[in-house]
Amino acid sequence: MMQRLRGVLSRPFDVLAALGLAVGLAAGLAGAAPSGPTPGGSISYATNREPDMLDVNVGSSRYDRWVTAQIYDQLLAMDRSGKISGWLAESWEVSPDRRVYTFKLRRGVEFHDGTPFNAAAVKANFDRIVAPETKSTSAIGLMGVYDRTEVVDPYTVRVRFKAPHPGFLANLTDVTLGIQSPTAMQKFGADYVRNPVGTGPFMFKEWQRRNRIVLVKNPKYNWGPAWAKHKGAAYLDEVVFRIIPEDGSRVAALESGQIDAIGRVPPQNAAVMRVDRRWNVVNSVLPGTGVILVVNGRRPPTNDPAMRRALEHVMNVDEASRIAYFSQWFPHRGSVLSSPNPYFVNLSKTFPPSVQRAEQILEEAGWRRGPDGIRVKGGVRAELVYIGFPSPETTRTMEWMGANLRQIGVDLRIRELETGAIHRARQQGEHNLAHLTFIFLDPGFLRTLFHSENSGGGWNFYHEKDAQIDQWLEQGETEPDPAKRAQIYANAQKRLLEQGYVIPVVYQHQISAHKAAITDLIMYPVLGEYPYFYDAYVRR
Amino acid sequence: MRRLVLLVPILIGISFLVFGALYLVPGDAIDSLLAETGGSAADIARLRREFGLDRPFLEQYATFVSRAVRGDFGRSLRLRIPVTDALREQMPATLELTLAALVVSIALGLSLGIVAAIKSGSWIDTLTMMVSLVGVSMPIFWSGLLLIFLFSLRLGWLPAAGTGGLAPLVLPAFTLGLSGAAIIARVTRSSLLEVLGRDYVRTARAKGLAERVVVMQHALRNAMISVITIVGLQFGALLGGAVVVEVVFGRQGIGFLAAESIRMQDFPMVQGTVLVASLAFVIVNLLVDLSYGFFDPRIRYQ
Repeated sequence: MMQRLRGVLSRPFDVLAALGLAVGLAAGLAGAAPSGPTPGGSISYATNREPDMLDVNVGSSRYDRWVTAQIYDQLLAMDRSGKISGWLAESWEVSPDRRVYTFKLRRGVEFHDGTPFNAAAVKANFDRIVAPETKSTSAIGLMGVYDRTEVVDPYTVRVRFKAPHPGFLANLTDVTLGIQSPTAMQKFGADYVRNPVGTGPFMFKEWQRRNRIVLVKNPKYNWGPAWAKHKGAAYLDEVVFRIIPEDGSRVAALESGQIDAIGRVPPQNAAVMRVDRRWNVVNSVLPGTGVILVVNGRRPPTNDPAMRRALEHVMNVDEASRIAYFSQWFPHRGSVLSSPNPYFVNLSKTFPPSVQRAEQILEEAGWRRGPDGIRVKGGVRAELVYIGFPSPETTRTMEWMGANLRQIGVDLRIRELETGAIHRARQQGEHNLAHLTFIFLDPGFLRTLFHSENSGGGWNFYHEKDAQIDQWLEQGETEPDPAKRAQIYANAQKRLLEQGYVIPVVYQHQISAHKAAITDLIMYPVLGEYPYFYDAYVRR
Repeated sequence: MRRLVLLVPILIGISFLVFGALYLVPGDAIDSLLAETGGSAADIARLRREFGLDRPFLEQYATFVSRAVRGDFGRSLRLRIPVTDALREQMPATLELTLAALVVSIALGLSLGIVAAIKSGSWIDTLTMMVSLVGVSMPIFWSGLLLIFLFSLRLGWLPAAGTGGLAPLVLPAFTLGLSGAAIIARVTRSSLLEVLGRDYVRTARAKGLAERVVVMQHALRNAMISVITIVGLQFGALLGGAVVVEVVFGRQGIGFLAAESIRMQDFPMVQGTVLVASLAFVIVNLLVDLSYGFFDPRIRYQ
């Protein structure tokens, strides 16, 4: 009976996720009679990589946020619908030109070390992010062209930018702009990276590197985000993060009962665990690019627009999701931004998957089959080079794509390298196809990926200079009117797809598996990548 | 003493090789740091300047050496903590693992080797040597996963991952120790066989000594020289294998740290881990050399 019930549930799950909701496929939904939340207890949660540091001003690792999200609060919060509400800031005003932001701060909030939270604390954080000696890698990218922060009165703070920064509100909901204790930053200096002090529901206790990070409940906590299920302190006494890099070992640690919950469940395991009543499998879609292939517009043969159009028709996102991701990561219906993003546009009708159509396009463009079956045009062989990180999912995707490309007379070579080597090769344009996935909330980040100024030395791997796209990305970054801004980014995404510079594959997911007794352990809205333990409790 | 002084040029040579190798690898630490979050060309240039990675190679190396001789290995580019702190945190776990693995490989290797040598030519010998062949050939990550599958998942006796205490140490120590045991067993067997064929062993037997005494007291001690040499070299292999074992079992340790740091091109951290590992390797082999004197009194050191 349970089994069948869960089978039925899996359909609405797909639909909900497609709507952009990160949904817990809770066995709890179908499971035992609910008993209320019980305070106390501990959850151990294993991830695949250890955080680099717990200083959000400085760090850049996505894995930092699994822990920092529990320790720090942000000025603003974003719920699953994308609506922004107050958190440590109760209200805010934005100047029409989006250069000046004024925040009224919540009173009575205290850092874990007893330091009062106020305007001076906010200023200390923002000023520290942009200070050269901080060598900030990630947070600084969310601060736009920062000018200064003014303390208007103890609970009013005004942030000024030298250029319009319409993405600032969304960025403030990102853990990367969480607020850290100014006293602790002063006291620990460079060693703050392993002595984090925030205002969040859990306090840092200890970090045994390569072993465990222990957080304990903040008993004074009474300022949770508006979207949370309860008020007051967290239910759990303790949260223990463990690091088990190897996927198989991590799943084994959960199955043997050594660990209560794990993140980064490989899709093939998730497919099996979803129908096992011992686990809740929580699958969330992450905002940002999703998994996409960026097509080099400079290097032959993809410098030919016809070749790029043919590639778009070869990609069949439904099949890619099924074959490479065991249907656990959903097909990408846009071009760049994935569906939980407010700027998502559904472009799935642009290039209907059709191997015949792809073949026809190549034929019409003068690509003729050579003696070995591979097409040739003007002495150029239809041979594509893919460069990416080795991961089972992307490898399966590319092997599947290679088989389809063979059918239309195109050869695909798969090159998988180490991080640094991949990056340099892609910067120098040695690829035709590059696999890419980034997580972010505000589409202003698209400039980093698709503006020609970032070709060669940055993260733009399509390399062609498209003046129209450049112009939109510049405008979008500073356009104060939300409707116009949305239109600009819709245009840019549409053009990136139509020109064949981007081939969408699947949305990016984070799948977490918990023991069935763990309730309300959600994935952080909207970033969705890491668990949020505030509402979580262990059912007894 | 002279050998200890020789350590200095060895370590300087190693540091230069490591520095040079990292410099030649495409990309740099900034590319890796920003790999997950991305960065504009301007951000990349800014960080490269802030970290001093835009300076010429020799200048960077000179800066590193001038600090290192004062015991300051700098801060990790990625973790931003002092390299020495990271090493101090990780070293105990790796030592614990390699020593435990060494114990496993010596105990297992010696006893298997002795049994095989005594029963030379019998089915026991063949079986032992076949098992050891499998042990040598099997990659560590694979035997590790098999052990996890059997003892953690099927039997539920031992934890699959973690550091601290004896229970989480057993599986990694066996995983790592097995490959060493296989080699030690082979060496023990062949050198013991060679010694057992010598005249003085025949004499001992002719005197009517018990076979146990002949093997354990007369033959084994002489056979130990080559075994001890192998054990010393094995220590280096164990340090290398620790990288893999630490990843598979999610353990603390400098092996893991080194692997991660190389991947991230975090050169101060790579320097630190490589220097510490080389130092450990050199010291262990020094100890091995000194121990020859114990097993063979004819060897004396000035």
